[in-house]
Amino acid sequence: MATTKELGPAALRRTYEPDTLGFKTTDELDGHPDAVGQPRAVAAIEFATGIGRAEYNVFALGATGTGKHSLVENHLRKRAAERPAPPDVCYVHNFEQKDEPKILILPAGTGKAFSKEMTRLTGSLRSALRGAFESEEYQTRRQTIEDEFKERPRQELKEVEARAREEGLVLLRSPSGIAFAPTRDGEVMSGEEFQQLPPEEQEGIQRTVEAFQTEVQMALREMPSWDRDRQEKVRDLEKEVIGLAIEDLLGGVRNRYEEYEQVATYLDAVREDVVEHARDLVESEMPQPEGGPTPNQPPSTPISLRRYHVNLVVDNSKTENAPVIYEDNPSYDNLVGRIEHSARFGGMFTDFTHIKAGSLCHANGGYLMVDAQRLLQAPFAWETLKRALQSRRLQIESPAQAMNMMSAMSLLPQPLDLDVQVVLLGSPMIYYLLSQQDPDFDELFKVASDFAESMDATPENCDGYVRLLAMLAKKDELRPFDNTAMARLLEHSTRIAGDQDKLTARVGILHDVLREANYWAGQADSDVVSSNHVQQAIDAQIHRADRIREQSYEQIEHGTIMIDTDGRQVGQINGLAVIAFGNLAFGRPNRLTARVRVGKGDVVDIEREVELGGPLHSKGVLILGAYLGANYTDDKPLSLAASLVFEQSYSGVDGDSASAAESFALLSAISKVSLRQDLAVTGSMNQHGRIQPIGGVNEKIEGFFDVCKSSGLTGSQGVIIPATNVRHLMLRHDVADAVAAGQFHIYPIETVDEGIELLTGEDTGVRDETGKYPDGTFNRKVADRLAEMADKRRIFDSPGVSESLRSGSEGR
Amino acid sequence: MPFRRIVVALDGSPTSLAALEATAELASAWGAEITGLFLEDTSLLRMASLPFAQEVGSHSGAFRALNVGQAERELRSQADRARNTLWYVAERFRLTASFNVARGTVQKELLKALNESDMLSMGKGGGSVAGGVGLGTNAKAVAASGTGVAMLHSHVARVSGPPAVIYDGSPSAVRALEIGGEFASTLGTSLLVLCPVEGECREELQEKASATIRDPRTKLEFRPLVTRSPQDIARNVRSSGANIVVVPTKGPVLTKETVETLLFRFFGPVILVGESQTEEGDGEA
Repeated sequence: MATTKELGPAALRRTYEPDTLGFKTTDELDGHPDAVGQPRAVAAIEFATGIGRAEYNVFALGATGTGKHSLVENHLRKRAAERPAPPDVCYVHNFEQKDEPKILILPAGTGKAFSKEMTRLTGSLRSALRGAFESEEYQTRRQTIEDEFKERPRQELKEVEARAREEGLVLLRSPSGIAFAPTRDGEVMSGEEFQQLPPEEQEGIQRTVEAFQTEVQMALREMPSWDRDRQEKVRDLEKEVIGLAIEDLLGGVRNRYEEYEQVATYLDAVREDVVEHARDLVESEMPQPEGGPTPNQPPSTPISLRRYHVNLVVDNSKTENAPVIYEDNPSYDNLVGRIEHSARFGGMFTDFTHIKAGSLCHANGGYLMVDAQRLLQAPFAWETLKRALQSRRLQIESPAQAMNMMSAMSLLPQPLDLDVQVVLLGSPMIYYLLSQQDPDFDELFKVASDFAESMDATPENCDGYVRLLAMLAKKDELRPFDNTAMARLLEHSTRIAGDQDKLTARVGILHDVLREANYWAGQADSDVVSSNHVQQAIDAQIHRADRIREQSYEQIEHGTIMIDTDGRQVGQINGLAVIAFGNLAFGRPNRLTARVRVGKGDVVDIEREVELGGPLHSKGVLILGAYLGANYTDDKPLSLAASLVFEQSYSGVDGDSASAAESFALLSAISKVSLRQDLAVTGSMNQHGRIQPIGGVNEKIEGFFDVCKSSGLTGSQGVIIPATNVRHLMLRHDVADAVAAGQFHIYPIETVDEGIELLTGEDTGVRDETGKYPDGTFNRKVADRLAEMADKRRIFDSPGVSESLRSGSEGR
Repeated sequence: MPFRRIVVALDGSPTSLAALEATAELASAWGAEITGLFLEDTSLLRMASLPFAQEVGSHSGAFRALNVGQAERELRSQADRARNTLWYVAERFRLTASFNVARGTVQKELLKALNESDMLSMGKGGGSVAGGVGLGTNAKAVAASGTGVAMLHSHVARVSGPPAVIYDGSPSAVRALEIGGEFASTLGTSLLVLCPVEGECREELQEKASATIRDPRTKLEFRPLVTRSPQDIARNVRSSGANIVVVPTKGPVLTKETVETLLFRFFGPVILVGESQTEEGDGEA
């Protein structure tokens, strides 16, 4: 019988020697390692930012806590430092199309200065206009025009009035017109008095009145054309006078910004507009009456001086390099910008000063970082971002406008040309989903920056890792960590990685431990954080989360869940499962039993029958059946009916990590050889009886150790694991100590036979040249029992056996 | 407060509506009552009774036959609009208001209202042959009467400071100064006192003026007033920065022509202050 050697304590966990770390406390460490163990991800970001093309946006994928955000941001900032600050972005009134504000792109800082100048200019504009309107020159010339043109109808009417008076008539204004009437003694003649006049006189008066009325009619019909002439002359005068006044104000601004063609064109438009609306601008200064216009006054549309303001939507006056912006809340509005409205006289009003830039606008000329999940959860945001990146233009509009869902008047600002690289941060699942489901995704996000979950625990990486942790501790202003603390943190990192040769890249988890260890050091009045504080932090984390684990172990201890940790049983074995709740995963033994009888070669997975077993578990059971048939009854039909069950399991079971344990239980049931109950087993197997690695090996071993420990370690207890899992061992100190003291044992096995020998103490035997196992060996017992069952089956199936016997035998 | 009852002449012209707005604002500050006055011109009704009566439309130039019933309907309709506007404004400013329709000769009725109220408020353009444009005959008649207090408005429905008063030391000017002081106090501004440079000693005038103002918070700012011509006076007033001007209509400096020029050239409200009834009474006695 070959003897399987148990593992020594050194193989059970990787240790990091504090003295080899090269420092006493982290105070001695400096530098900012920014990319420990993520060379692939870093290279991808460097490539994307280096190539700098629009469609080479990046998706940084990785598990939470792998440091994606800080690493990406640091690299983007480095790249941004090599690029100049982008220009300022301003929106101004479009004098030709007022609902399509114009965009002005000016060098960084110039926009702010220009905006201030225009605000100042606007402040002086009204007084300048008033000054111009009240100037003696204007007043005199205006009065001359007014007099000239008002005088014409007035003069005409006056002349008519005077001549009428000579004829004994008076000119009267009625509510809607002008009329003439004969007078007597200075009073208008009444109808009765008129009737008393001789008919000839009446006729004469009537003819005279009609003649005057015709004259007035002619004069009145001329009035609109006179008025048009007057307005034209007044307009020309205002253009001249106001033009001079505005030129005084605009001249200085124009000189200072003459090199910017956009500004020069805009200032020309301002000049023309001020001249055109000078009178309205001065009169709009008058406050609107409270409650709006009176019934007889139409509501006026005041022309506001705001139209000459400059809405600086992106101010880069204090920006030295290309921007790197992280959009924490990537809603549509926050990304694209929005057009706000204000209430005015019961309606909603907006203009170009209500345009607000979003983060795409602010990041233009640089980099924008966005959380992919939040982006996808925000209505319209993802589609809009894609559209902007595809067209390389940003149109600020409301989602309702963009979807043609709004008919109310709004603005359509001139779009901004985009030059921004977007980095999405998200989980691998989101990346693969987008890549698979969204045809635009791969076109726009050509670079995947893939963050590994673990890294090799090489000396270089360990050094960088420690420095990274030290930097995080300093950033959080924590106490210095001594080398024992750092060594313990490295061990914890390896434990999370689940591989003795790895460190986890999920530094976020370690960051939490740093802060919590610092807290415990504070509680202990220690100036330095040591390994015991780190251990306390880890223990406390586990303790906070392990209520369910405790309950579960209690149930085993009280016998509610039946687990034997000593003695021997036929067809019964301790399997091991991992249960995960939130952030805590723990191992728990499960009793696994097998029963056999004569049958047609079916191995029934009871879990599967009741739909509690998953497909992987069923696969393991089927492999077991295949192994059984091929290994023991290759010349006879497999004639047993076996059933396998996880006892006291009331929820789903999946995975094939129990297939080795199931095979041991089944072989025990067939051979009727009892199995040790002080050992637990984990491992999957293939059709040839080779043991394959499984996950959660540490939690499983610790789970059985805890159960055994609670009832008292006997010195014989232990766990059988796949040999290929040895490198994944990173067991707790107390488990390693128990192994060192010979109180607990870990047996690595490679084959089913090795497991059987450990569990039964019997030699399994090897087939001889005739294909038979030697007498007295375990495998021989299995083969003989299966042969016996095959014979019974043959007799049972032979002709002549009555139906009644057949049905009676089925039950035994 | 000297103004308890203010009459606003409403004829539907834009300047009369501006007068109503501005007066309501002041009445609200003073706690005064306003009365809207609509005048039905009897001459017009007599004309309408003529067998051939017809009018030429102000804007269309078309002939329309007219009779008494139609003329009265038009006047009633105009009065209704004036009444509605008055109620609307009064409600907005929470004022006590009444509305009167008087039938008679327009200028006679206006002068009657001027003498019977604390202040008559009206548009500058009322009665003008050009349809409320420029300075109307009614405004000229009120200015020429030399009695009462009249506030005449152009299109600007706004009363804001600072007020200016032309002060030559005459009894009318003293009253104008008092009224200017009331306006300054109400509007919370200083009072610009424009003293003729050609008149009596300016220091003496200033002392007299300072003693006249009752509200100690009202700051007086004295400015010289060139009075060579009506145009000079109008220009001086305009350039003083005043938004309201209070003008004594009887005094050594201001002729009828000067007052009319000021009324025509000054955009803001012009308050004409004539001799009070008491002064007249004193004179008669």
